[in-house]
Amino acid sequence: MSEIKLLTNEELDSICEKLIAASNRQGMTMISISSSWNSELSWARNYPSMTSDRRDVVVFVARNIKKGGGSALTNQIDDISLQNVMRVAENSAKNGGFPQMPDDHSFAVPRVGSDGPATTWSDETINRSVEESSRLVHSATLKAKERALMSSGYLENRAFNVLAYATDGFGRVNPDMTGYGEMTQLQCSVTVRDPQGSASGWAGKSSYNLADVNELAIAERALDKAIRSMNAVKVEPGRYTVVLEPQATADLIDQFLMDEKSIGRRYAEDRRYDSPMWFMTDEGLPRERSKLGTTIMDSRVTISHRVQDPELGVIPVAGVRDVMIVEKGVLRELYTDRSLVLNESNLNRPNMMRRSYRMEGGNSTTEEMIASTKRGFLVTRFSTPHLVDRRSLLSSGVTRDGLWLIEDGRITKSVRNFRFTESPLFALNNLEEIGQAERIFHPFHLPMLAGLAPHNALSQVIVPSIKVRDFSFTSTIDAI
Amino acid sequence: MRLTRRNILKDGAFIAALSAVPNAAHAVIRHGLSEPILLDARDPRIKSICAAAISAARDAGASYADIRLSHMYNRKIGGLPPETEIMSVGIRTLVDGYWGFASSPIWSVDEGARLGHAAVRQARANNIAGPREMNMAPLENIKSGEWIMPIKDDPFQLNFSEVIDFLNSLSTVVARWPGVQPLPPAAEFRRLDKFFASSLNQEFFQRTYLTSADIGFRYISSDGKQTSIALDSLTPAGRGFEYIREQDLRAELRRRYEEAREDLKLPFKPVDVGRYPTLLDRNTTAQLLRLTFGPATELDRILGYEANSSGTSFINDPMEMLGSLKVASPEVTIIADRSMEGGAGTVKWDDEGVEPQEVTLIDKGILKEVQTDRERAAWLNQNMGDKYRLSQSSGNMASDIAQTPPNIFSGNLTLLPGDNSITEKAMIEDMEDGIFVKRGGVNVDFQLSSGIISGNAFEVKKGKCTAMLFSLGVLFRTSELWNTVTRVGGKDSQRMFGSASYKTNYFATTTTSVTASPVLFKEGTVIDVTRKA
Repeated sequence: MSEIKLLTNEELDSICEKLIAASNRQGMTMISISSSWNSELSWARNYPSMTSDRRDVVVFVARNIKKGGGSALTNQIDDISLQNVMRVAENSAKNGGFPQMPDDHSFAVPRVGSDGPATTWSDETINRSVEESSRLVHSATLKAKERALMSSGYLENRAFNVLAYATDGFGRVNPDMTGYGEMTQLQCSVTVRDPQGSASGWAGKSSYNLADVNELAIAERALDKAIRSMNAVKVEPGRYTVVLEPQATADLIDQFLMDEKSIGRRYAEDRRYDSPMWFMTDEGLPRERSKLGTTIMDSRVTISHRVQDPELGVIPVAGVRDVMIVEKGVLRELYTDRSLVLNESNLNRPNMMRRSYRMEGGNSTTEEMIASTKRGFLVTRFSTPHLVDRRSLLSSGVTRDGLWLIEDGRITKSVRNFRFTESPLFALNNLEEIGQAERIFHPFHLPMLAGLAPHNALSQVIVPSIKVRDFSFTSTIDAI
Repeated sequence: MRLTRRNILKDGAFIAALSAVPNAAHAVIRHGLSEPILLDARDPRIKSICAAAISAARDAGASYADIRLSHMYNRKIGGLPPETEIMSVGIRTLVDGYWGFASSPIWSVDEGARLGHAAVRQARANNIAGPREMNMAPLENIKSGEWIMPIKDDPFQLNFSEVIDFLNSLSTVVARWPGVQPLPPAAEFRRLDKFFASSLNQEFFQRTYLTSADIGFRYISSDGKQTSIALDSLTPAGRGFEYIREQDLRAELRRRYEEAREDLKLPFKPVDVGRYPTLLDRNTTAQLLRLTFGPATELDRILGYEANSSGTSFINDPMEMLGSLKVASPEVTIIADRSMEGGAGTVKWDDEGVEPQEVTLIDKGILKEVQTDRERAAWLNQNMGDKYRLSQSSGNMASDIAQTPPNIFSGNLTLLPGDNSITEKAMIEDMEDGIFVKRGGVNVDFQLSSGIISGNAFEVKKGKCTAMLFSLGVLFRTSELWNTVTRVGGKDSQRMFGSASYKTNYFATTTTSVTASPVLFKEGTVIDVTRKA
């Protein structure tokens, strides 16, 4: 008999029915029941350091009774625990004090529709055995060992499903917030270093589909980068043209795309938050304005999350709609949470922040971008970027695991890492070329979020390499 | 037949296992007073789950196995969800020198046995290149025990409304002050019960608590300048509700209000880049310590086990560096101790059954000791022998809940205070021309060897704060900066700050504390972060 890794739809339904039966049927209800499976293999110093198989269940109940909100969460699904979790949510709703219906992106609208198959699930991903993963890791480490280098990395297969159910204040089912979703995810990243710690190379990729991720190719790429990053030299910091590999592009633009305070409408229309998307106070109207509709970056930049984008992992759900964040450089949409929409009492649907996105690519290859560069750097990825000024999105972080000097159209030297101080908005305004978009490593850990919806648990990112002029490196660092 | 997901799931063994949950091991969410104590070390059912798991693992070929059952109960005010209960069981096995781990939410004898087998399968799958020699440092003789973290007011015995009223009363007080808009108060209480057993016949039960609160306000001055204030005296601590109740929060809020008023009276100006004596307040010092010497002395990180996730350490050759490397000025002594009273990372036994020991990471500026688990302590024994003081693990294995495997996490850190006459105020008064950073943020690189401090900063001239500086950054190399420490604040200016720590590709988490006082650095490299290269 094969292993059972997730609850079935029927089991999720049965738990939901028990919860509904335990409720007093007054007011609004939101229920989310999810189960998850994680198979993880970590290795370091050329041998596996931990292999794990983890399973869990999360039951989240939110109740709203007479304007009082309450919620509770458990991972126990026996009858008594289910009755208790409902009672606790109802008691805290009745006691009021702190209205607490979930209104952020953690509780969204996963209803399976009939407009096409979901492409978030891969049988191969959930069926891969730990023995197969181990064989891959063994092959990956062997090559590093043969070169007297040290490989470390992480290979994870995971699966997740969720049932969401909601009623309005009259006990009617809310179809936009009721449904079933499921997803798989595979993520692999490899770092190869020399034993002296003087060279380091990295590569990684993640996808819902095992077929998109070639672990041995990732290991090979990390090894190649480690070998090519030996004998790094120091170069003076300054403003340089940079070719950012797709991973580095995502590390930079995630700074605002993954941050509600930078890209959320609630913050963009209130000057107190210093949002980079706040435009000004409109003296003619009693409100503040965001930068919606204005050009904020180069006209070649388009960033979107389309529900039917097969490479991002389609979940054909009613209630989740396409989001066009930036179209040809113009800010088209800001993430809008549910409570904001409810407060406006209109029929707009919220569009919660997504962890998946696509930045449209161009025609250049990374090699062509290098060939057209007189003097600059090729960047593998950035590490620990953080905001130093929200209003301008100015961020500081460091380069990591592969940085090379480009001179007269070719890579000439491996270079010691830099600290950068740059804004993704400035960088996307200083674009010279855009490469082909490709899938990158964009892991997302599933925390015990209340009512996590599947399209928010997905984390598929497709971005191009980009060539940017005047990128600001402020100091060299010793870290390798 | 090719198995599809549907017919795999139809087998239904998962739900069968769920129905096997023992009756006493659930049903703990109760609203209001006096819930039953769930995890009782003397409960024979808990012991039988452990016995089933360990014996299944041994029968399947494990040379060592340990099991943890955790029951976490969380209450939040002003956060979602207000009540959380998470029960987990995780078993770790060692087979031919490789680790395997399996976990689930189901507490039953059958599930224990399944997990024992599953963890062995995980470990065994890695034995492709043949067995690997792996040693673990010896244990003390203590084989069993029970411990409950001493607290005065169990937050789970209080009426929720009582706590809400207490917090709301503070908001009511500050709302009366001119220019103040109170921010919604929040508080969080956690009770974590853990049972640990191992194939070495160890059995430990412990209960820990964690309490924190967010109380603050926005202050808008008469000329329109504004600032947000959040009390930093309520970060997570291993205490009960007394942690909040016993502090004079009204006085603290008033102090912060007066301070905000004074600060906003100062002119704003851009920073003049250069090298200045730099004073960090205790909050910023604690962050600096937590992000530099804390993780840099975790031996797994030093040896490269974290190379693919959070990074490595500038301490990269422990055999050469321990006992001789000068990483800070003689004013600096830092200890790590997971058994200190009230710490956010305090436990009686770590997550592999070791009673934590106090380690001196930095002794008068010299790198002395590191933080270990049993596996890495054995590595130290093998490679350093008698040259290293501890032959046992320092007890730094941690994982909040049994759902994830344990990892080495930094213990509660303490920067030993200087003379008691050294206060923040005194250091400012002694400063001729310098910088004072208050509640700043710290960002470090992946090797913890360099970083940048940014945030609220003041120009200090002739012993007085004369202007607020915007866009200040203090660039630093870790050892260089700590080597310029000239004065460390006294005991009266110390404070403990708790916070969460993350590690590994699967984001293992735990909480820990740092106790620090203000520190004066002879020279900080000050830059304007908005002025690019």
